[in-house]
Amino acid sequence: MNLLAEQWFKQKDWQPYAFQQATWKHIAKGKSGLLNAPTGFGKTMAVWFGVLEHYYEKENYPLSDKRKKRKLHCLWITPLRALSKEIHSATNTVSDELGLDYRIGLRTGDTLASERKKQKATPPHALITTPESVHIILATKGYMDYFGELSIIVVDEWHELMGSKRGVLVELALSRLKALNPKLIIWGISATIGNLKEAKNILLGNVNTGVLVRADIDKKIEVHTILPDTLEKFPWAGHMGLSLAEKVLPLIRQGRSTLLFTNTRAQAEIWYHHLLSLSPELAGVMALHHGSLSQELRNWVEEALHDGILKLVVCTSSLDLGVDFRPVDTVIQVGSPKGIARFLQRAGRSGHQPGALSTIYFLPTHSLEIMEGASLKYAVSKKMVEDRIPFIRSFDILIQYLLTLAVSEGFNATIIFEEVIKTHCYQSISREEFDDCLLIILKGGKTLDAYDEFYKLEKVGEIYKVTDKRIALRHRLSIGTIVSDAMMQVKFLRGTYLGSIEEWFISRLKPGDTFWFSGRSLELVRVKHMQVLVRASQKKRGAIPSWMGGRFPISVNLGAALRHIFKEVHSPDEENKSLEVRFLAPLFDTQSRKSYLPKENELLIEYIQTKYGHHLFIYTFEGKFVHEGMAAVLAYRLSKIKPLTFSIATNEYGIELLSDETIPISDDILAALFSLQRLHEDIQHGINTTEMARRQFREIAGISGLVFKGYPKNQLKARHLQANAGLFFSVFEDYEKDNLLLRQAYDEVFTFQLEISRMYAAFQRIATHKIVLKTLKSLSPFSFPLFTESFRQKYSNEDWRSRIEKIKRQLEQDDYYH
Amino acid sequence: MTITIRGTEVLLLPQKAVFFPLKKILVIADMHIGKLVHFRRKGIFAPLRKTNEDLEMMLSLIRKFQPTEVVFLGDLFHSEINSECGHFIKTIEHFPEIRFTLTKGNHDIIPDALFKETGIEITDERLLDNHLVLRHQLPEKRHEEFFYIIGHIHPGYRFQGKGRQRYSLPCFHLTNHSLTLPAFGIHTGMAIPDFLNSDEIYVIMNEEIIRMPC
Repeated sequence: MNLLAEQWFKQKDWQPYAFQQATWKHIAKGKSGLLNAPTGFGKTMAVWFGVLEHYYEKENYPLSDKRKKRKLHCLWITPLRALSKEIHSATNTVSDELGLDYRIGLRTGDTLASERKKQKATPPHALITTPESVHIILATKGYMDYFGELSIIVVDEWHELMGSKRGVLVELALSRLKALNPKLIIWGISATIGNLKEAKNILLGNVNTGVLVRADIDKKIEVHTILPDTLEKFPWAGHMGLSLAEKVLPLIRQGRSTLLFTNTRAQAEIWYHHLLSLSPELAGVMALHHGSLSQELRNWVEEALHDGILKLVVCTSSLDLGVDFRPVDTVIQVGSPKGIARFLQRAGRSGHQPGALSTIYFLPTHSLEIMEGASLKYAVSKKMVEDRIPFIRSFDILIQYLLTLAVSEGFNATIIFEEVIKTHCYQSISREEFDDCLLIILKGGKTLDAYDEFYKLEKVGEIYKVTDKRIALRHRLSIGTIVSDAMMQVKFLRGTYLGSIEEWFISRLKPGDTFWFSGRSLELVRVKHMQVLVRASQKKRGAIPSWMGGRFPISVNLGAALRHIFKEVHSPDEENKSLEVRFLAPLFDTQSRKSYLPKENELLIEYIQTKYGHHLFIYTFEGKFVHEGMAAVLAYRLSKIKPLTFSIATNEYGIELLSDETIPISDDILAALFSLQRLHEDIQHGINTTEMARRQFREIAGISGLVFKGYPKNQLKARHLQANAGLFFSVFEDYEKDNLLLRQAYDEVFTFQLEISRMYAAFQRIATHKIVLKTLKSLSPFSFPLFTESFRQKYSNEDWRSRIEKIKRQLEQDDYYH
Repeated sequence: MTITIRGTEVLLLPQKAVFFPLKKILVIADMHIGKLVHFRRKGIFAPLRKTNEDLEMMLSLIRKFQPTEVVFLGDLFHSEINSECGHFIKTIEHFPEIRFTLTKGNHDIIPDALFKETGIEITDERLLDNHLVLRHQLPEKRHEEFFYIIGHIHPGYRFQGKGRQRYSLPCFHLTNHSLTLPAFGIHTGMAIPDFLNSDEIYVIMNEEIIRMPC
């Protein structure tokens, strides 16, 4: 038994859970591991008392430092600043209540430089921080000494980090720290995901076998779908869901505190605005929370939520994680949550107390989405939780990491190579590939030229170092994996900082224009450098900013759950149909009348000509992920018959191929479209991955240091170094096709966007289906959401020149001239 | 395509330049020579180009039109002097019969003295007859009687083709007081200006220039 924990739990009159005791025992034995427990059951304490015991058990070990000063004992990594703060205060409370001298420091992007200096001179016993901050410490001279006595690392919310490149930052930091202390104890804390074992192995590394501790506690979750009064007036398409806003008000009134989750920041702004106009008495007890608002504003909202002052917070994924908000008893999800894990996580934000019931309301934004309510319930009951797919072979982060080491202590290539290939991410890279990365920062790539003036890294003996102070500074400023567009700071004239907006949105506004941001109506006064100066406006109407990115595709599991519900639609057993399916009966009738309602073993294809061109709608119900790749393969196969350019839209239910010319369709052609023959080749050659890779390259260019965002407060000075990632992508495509980073962009497209293996399975399933082709006179309920989808991709096997020629011809037609 | 500005004939070229046939002046905007090499010098690993398409294009224009003067409307060099700039300077030394003029742009930070050695004349603006002024960008106070021929913006035109296909292409932008040239350098990007109804837009499509409705 853990003595400190025993005392503390007695003070609180609490009973420890079995998983907490198990974790203490494992840590006491010096074991590493992964703890899987739902939020609200004391998982922090399960690890924390292990940390404390480890420290006090060994308190009498001799200090290695002659100055008799303690060094850092524990590093606690979390994905969120807000969560870091929460852990910081919870662990400090333990030290206070038990009268311990164990000091805990906090270091995030917000920590002042003076505080960081203090932390470096006299380190706390434990430091709570983010993956980026750990790398910033690794980029500081003396990091080896600083981490010299580090004994325990805890990685909180590992499931969240693992599926992103921030997880790779953690893997790399661990590889270095393990080299400094081979006995390092590593613990991860994770919510339930499909691949927990893999999560453990990735965190601990293939050498370090550890234990998996699972808290067998079931969190009770209730899902309700908010239905419109009548189906007729409910829109067939749309992403906003405002028509059901009235239905939300009674839920807010009856609850203590409500979180209303939207999928995008723009949607959050719009909902905030709309609810306020519907129910003005909410002013003062309602707030907005999303990633572009200033930290002060978000801190205020989080504290007010804690204190139970707020009745409603409209938020995005910025409030998905961590922090306990005990007053929250109602959660509303607007639109598809796109994944079951995310939905569960959001549901878990209510009823945070152990044993309490979590209630979540699902608010569909268009009629077909009502079906998702039923599929979410099904998925929750079947515990269909997604896997988190880890990144592998991320050369962009490897390049960043090598530079990080080069700006602090310098590195020996052979030693670091041996370290990084022990991580999951880089276990398959060869020495040649590693050397290529090195060459990129040493010589600027493989192309050698007598005139070349590339300058970044130096080799002194066996050690690679950065000696140029400006390069070192630029590197420290760009550590991390979050790449955003040029952001402009929105400020009141008197100086209060509100948050940030992407440059392209502001560029469309003129002084005097009104726009909505952070829930207020603002008038643009002027733009100065990277600052947008505003004053409060009385105007009720104004543009609402939207932000790029944040577009989640629906998960494959949710796709499967959706197909399952579709079986139910045809079931003769009316009694056992879910509420949502029964409600949608008139919509399915309309679908049969205008087109056809496909059965389980049928594939429906609709063809229609509108003023936009010729549309082919294909309903494969595989989820958006698979549809994106499938659409490109189908477009390729069609354009082999006739050269065509398609604009492609996909959603959870199907695919739209839109062309300016007639699309050849006959039974033979359609059957060949889904044939398994030559499928492999058609996937390989057919998917025009260039556009996808170009988008993917944006992040890679940012992480690897190709695109420099500029110095804080001094944005203008870097002007001569500014270029967008698209330009670099084109130049690499033209001059250096075998570049590692370019290849990485394509690899990421194949693994994360196309999910090739799942696409295969989908083609195999569909090959057994009967194809039903309908030519429509007007759009069907199924086709409408696709028809109005504004996010589109392009597929073409016509070359750029002939495409331009075609536009020229179109221009010559009169109708273009309005 | 030939247009007339204040009684002067002006040839808009699909090579993203302008030629005054009477004066035999070739005008080129925003070449940004040495951009990629500048990046490399600052430790940003842009790939090296093996050929210099911009320079080749300029030479072919000189061969075709035989100008007596070439005016660069600013941002000739992306930043400090580097090897690519050196290559450019060596190349123009082969044309002693041509007068080269640069109207200084915001990117042109190379000291004037250095330019003098290269034989490129430096000025803020180059005045032609009929109150035509060649400059990098519009002056803070625009002179009513002047007509400005400028660069700086890198104008592009975005339009919607059939089947919801979208394209952006470089263009010449003509207003009642100015003509903005597209950027000549190929790795320079584009910006979409606010077009007024009274403006004229000449979009470059392959080897042709097409006038667009606003």
